[in-house]
Amino acid sequence: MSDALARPARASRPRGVSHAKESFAAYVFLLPALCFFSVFVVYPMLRGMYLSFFKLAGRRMTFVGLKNYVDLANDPVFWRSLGNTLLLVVGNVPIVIVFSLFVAATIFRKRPFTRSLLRGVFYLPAVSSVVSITVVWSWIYHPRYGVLNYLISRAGAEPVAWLGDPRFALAAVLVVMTTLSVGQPIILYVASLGNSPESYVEAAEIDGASPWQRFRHIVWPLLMPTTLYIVIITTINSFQVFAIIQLLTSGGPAYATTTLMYQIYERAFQIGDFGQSSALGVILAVIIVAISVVQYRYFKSDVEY
Amino acid sequence: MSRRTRVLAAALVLCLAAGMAPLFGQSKPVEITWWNYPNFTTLDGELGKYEKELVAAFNKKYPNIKVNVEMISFNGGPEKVTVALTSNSGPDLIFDYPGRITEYARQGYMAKLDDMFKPADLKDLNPTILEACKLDGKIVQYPFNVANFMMAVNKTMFEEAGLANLLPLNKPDRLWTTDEFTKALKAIQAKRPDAVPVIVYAKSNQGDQGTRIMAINLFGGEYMNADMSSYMQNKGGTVEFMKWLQNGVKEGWIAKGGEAMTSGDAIDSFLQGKAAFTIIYSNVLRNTNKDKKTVKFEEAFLPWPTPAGQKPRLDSFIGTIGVFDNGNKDKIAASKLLVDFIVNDPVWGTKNLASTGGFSARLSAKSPYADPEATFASTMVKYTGRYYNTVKGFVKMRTLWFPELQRVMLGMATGQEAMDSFVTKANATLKE
Repeated sequence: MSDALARPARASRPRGVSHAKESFAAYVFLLPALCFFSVFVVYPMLRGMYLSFFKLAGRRMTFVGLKNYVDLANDPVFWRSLGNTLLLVVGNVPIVIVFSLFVAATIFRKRPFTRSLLRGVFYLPAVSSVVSITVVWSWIYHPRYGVLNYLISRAGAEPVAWLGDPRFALAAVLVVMTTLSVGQPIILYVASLGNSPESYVEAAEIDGASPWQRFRHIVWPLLMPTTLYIVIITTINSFQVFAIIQLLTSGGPAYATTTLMYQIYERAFQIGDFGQSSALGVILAVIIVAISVVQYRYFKSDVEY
Repeated sequence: MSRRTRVLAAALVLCLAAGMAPLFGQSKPVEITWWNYPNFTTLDGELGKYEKELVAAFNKKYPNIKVNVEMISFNGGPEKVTVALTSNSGPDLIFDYPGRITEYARQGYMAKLDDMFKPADLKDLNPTILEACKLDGKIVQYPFNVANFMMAVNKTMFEEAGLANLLPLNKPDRLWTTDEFTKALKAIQAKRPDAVPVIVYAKSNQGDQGTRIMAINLFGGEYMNADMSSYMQNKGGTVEFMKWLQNGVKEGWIAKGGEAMTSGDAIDSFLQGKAAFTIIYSNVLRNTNKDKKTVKFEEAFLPWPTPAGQKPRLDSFIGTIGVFDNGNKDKIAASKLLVDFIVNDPVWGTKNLASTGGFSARLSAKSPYADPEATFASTMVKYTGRYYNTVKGFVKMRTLWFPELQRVMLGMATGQEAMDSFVTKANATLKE
């Protein structure tokens, strides 16, 4: 396939224009984006790695080698935040995939007006302020005046401190995360379903395939590129969850909802320990890259472009 | 006078003029940036409007100093300052408190302000307050307003419930015991089940000084040892307090769910008439939160209850203004002039003080308030306890306190276990 793409490009090159010149022109066009990428992504990343080997106290920087990493390895709060982060990722990603696929498949068959309306409704959280939505959720979860406790008390249950009880706090955060994560996947799945050739499904239907067989063997493989994108993006976003934690629980109660991202914030901006915070950032980046590579390899075998 | 003497005299005058120019003439235009928390009462509901008027008045006196005012919030503001300082984009002055400004000074960010004080000024300052403004013997922030943190009660709620006799409002200095306080909590719980007696909050480090001071007062505990080299919460009174707290949450005379509430939530509940007591209040907080009072009721300050025969120890709020050393002498000099104007201007100094709700840090100054509660609050300065907010690692210690308090409130640890864990980690911050 790559040859097929390359050939017309060579054929369309004007006579007398060398390959090197064409490459140079391409790089010049890429330069603005490359500059932004270098300044706002590559440099901060390298600087973060560099800082992770230092102890910072105001304007003073002291080289401490791997001490920040060793301290983290001996810190129970770090391990707790890593465990919580992984739980949120493992909980959020499958729920987002299943829920958004279910919603997309349901609304895809509706009339265009209804479909557009529902797409808008589900996408609304993605374009709304995370802070506003989280504040609304904090009132829903309020132990004394919250709607949720009002509803369960109508059913005869005792009020629950949703964000104050370690048994429920992480699950309560997960629910908010999920509502904020499903908007874009629903839009992508609806678009992807619209682009899938109907004829394949119709042929299978004529051949007597059941609805499950049609979904499993035809629709699901056709949706695989979209699924790969959603899985990777949702995983990265779940690893980087911060605003919800900061606003709902501040990592509590008793570190029950603290995450790697929240710890990065707390150590850098509340305590001023930028060195250890950078070390945490490096660890988080390594974990995300490793998991994304695994996901890409696993799902890539099924992706056909 | 010989020619040589005249030349020498002229040179001397020129040198003096050059040296003092930053303090008097300000002939060279200077631009400074002032980051301010909402310390002053908002005018017409517009945040920063008071500060603009203050700067306009300052500019009548010093037209060549342009002051950019940027309002920052208590929630997120300290983080913004930390980032700005680290990236060399910080302000020139800030109105904050010694807990943070001393930490900035320790990291080398603050200018020394000793030259702003004459010997008479130093004598006129409360020694505890002056000491809180120093680092290694040098003054790194200018003290402006003070107010002791206390408790407050919804007096109307107790009167309507026929329980006003349980409050110490007619006793000298309103002093009372922990047993009396507990009795009042249980009584209001029984009479007003729709309200909460009191909220002990522990969601974050916001307002955490309230829970720490409460913990040492009720059963006679200590923050730190005499030379402030070690925390003491795992001994005696504070551990007793934790047992009392666990029991109160279990029996409902302390609100359930406090581990997920902030001091802001607790004050809001009090001002909405939903909580009988607030464990953190001061004349400054009363002033800055007055717009949140949605229900009409009479409130009264109360000192911390103590075991019988002991005196309360109140935590002091000290408002100070710090000047950042950004490497520009003109900016530092201009910032000092603004600090002096805010605190000492004959007209605006008093006006500014009244706008904060605090009292002057100077011993000779009179209270700018006439209402009885503010007058009572001003008389309670004599119960001010030790000021420990400037110890090394104070900021980090604050992030360790509330998770342990949460563990106690949730029954995940005994008071002793939680306080042992806190003291071990907090002592490490003193050595970092």
